Amino acid sequence: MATGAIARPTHHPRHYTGILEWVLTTDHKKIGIMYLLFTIFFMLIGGILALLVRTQLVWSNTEVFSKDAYNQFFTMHASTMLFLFVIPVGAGFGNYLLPLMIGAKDMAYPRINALSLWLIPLAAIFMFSSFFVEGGAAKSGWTEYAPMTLRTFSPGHGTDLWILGVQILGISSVGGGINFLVTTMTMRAPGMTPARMPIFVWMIVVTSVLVVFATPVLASVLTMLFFDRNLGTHFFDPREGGNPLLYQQLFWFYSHPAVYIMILPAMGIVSEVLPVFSRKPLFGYKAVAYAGAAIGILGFCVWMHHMFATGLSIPLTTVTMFTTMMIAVPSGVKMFNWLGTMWYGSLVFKTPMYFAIGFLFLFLIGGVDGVFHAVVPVDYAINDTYWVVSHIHYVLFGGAVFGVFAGIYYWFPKMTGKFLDETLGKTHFWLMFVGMNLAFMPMHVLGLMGMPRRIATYESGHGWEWWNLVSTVGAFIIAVSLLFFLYNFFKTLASAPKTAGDDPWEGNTLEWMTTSPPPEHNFDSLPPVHSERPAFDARAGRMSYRPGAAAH
Amino acid sequence: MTTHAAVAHGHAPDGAAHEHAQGMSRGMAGMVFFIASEIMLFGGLFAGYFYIVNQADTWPPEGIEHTPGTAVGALLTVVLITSGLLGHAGIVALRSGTYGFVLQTGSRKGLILGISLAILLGTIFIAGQAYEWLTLFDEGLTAKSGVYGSTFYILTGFHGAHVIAGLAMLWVVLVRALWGDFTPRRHLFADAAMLYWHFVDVVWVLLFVIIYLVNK
Repeated sequence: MATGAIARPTHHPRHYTGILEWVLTTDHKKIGIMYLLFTIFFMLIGGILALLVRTQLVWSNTEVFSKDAYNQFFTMHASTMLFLFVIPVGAGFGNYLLPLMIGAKDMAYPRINALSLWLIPLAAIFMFSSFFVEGGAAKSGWTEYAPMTLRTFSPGHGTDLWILGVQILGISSVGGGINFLVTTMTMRAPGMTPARMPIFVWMIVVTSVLVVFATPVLASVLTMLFFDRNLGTHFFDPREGGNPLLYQQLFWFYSHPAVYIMILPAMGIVSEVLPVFSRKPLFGYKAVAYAGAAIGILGFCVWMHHMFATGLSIPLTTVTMFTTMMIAVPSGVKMFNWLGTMWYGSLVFKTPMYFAIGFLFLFLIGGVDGVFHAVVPVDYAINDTYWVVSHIHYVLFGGAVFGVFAGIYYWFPKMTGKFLDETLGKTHFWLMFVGMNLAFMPMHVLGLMGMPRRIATYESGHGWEWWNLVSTVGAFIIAVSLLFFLYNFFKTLASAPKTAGDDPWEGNTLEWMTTSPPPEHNFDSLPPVHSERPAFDARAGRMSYRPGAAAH
Repeated sequence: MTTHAAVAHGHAPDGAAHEHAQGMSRGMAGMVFFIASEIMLFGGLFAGYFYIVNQADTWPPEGIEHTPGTAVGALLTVVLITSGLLGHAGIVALRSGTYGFVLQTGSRKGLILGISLAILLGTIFIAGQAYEWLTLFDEGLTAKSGVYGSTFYILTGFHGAHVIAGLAMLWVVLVRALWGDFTPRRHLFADAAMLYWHFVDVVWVLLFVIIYLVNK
């Protein structure tokens, strides 16, 4: 019966070679890798746009770009980062890892999976081509609030292309979400009960539920916006009986759960990395899983906290305030469990662990300054200031991006058989960590000093200059850190030897029980699954497994 | 051990990743989640409708003279529900070899008959809706003529598009049945298509109630 040593497959059924092997593939691993490559490419583009934004704001009265161009840059920076990077990158990890982790051969619908992948570059073409149409790209912020996005204020087709791009991405992620859910429901290996699934799988499942139930609402509201702009309907036009607040209600019904679509996969990654590099089981496995589910459910109850300043009724704001603050509870549970995992662990300080600990530190700050927003009177004061910008970057850059890099350094040996360079990786981490705090911590101060977000330039005399300078320097340090990553990535792919072996980190989950990289069908045979750490059990020789005998 | 059954299940002789579903079949599970996402799509549109109606002084707003006729809506409702029932009877016929209480014919014939009638009535529904839209256009109610028209056309239009998608699925069922696909034990695609067709039915009933009945 199966043990830790799995026979290597003797042949690969290969129908295409060269580039076609990748373009026409329905193998979840190749699709997952392409997801990651596409999304990291878009992260770099979004990063360049961020540098343009920070350049403009470096000092008072700086006008490197026109205000119109600036508005396009910050809108497309956020749209690119959210829709083309953070959301699909979670699906990328999910695609590569979820079937491996549950012991399946592939996703439930491999061809729909390929479709979900290829819709992403298609959507990117729509979104980025808008820079070249008359009137330029979308420029009303990534939220694209009506009425700023109605024909009157946003003529030209930039906004239309933005809507089409986001709609295509919506189809892609709903297809992906259904695929993950059905795969997890129907294709788990024998013994892989829900209570033994890796936390990463749990988090992808919760994310997928959010995707399937929230994204269609975004599709409905963006369709209304598209019709208002192009067919002359009046959903958001108050002169004809419509209401711009309807846009915000429906938009945030999607976009608040979407925040958890962005962060839950990163939480899943960190929950896999920390136990392995602490040489301990995850502390409170069930609590982490339930907390993830609780975050998913509460995520649907809090969208109106984005609209406190629009004049909702007092009961509505009060209820939303409490549900919002409740989200801090499961998040705190998770934080407690991650720290408990490290407590008295034999910590191994490899690059993935650095990024995972960085995640804990930065996500904590992002979580705490988020609670300020939840409190209605405070929110009135800091609404639409740089405090908001700081909060979202601590959560999604400090949180999601650090989680993503923890995952990249952690699973790179599984995907390629090669280790990324540790020195370069740690340099990447420290530069990114320092740059991130330099870039976004001053924004808290700027927010408290009253600097509004989404302004193209500002007058002197507010005392904002030095903080903005620090922030811009931080942004460029982040850019430099990414150069270290890219150099490391390409150098390793080109010239590093395949020294990783099957299980370089002594992992817990099933993906470490196959070759690096895994064969097309993933596994020749699997160890029996008796706990949430089957690979650990197998390696530790706890194979009291006899065919036909009951397990104890 | 809390999960004896699952552990015993793990003692499959090959131990390899197995293909077969725990519980619902893979195809049906996919359709259920797809319909869930579609429910949320309509949920967004319905929520928008209620939001706008709720903050309007009167509904239909003043100045709207022509509204969709209840009789037409009721007729369309009967047509679509009948279509769903006949199509479903076709599936029942395939499974049990009888066609409801009426025909004791061979199972696949029953399926073909039921699906054909469902397609026919669905097509009549679309034709009826097109006729209604054209009539309302002539009377001056368009999507541009105020938010009342906007909500009416987006709700019925989205529904119509879903009816057309459902008809496409039913056509695939019909063609495959004519080719000789589907047996009393293997009819997943027919089941999934019929589930979708029922979903389209249910959405229409809700639409009929809120658009044609409640606001009169």
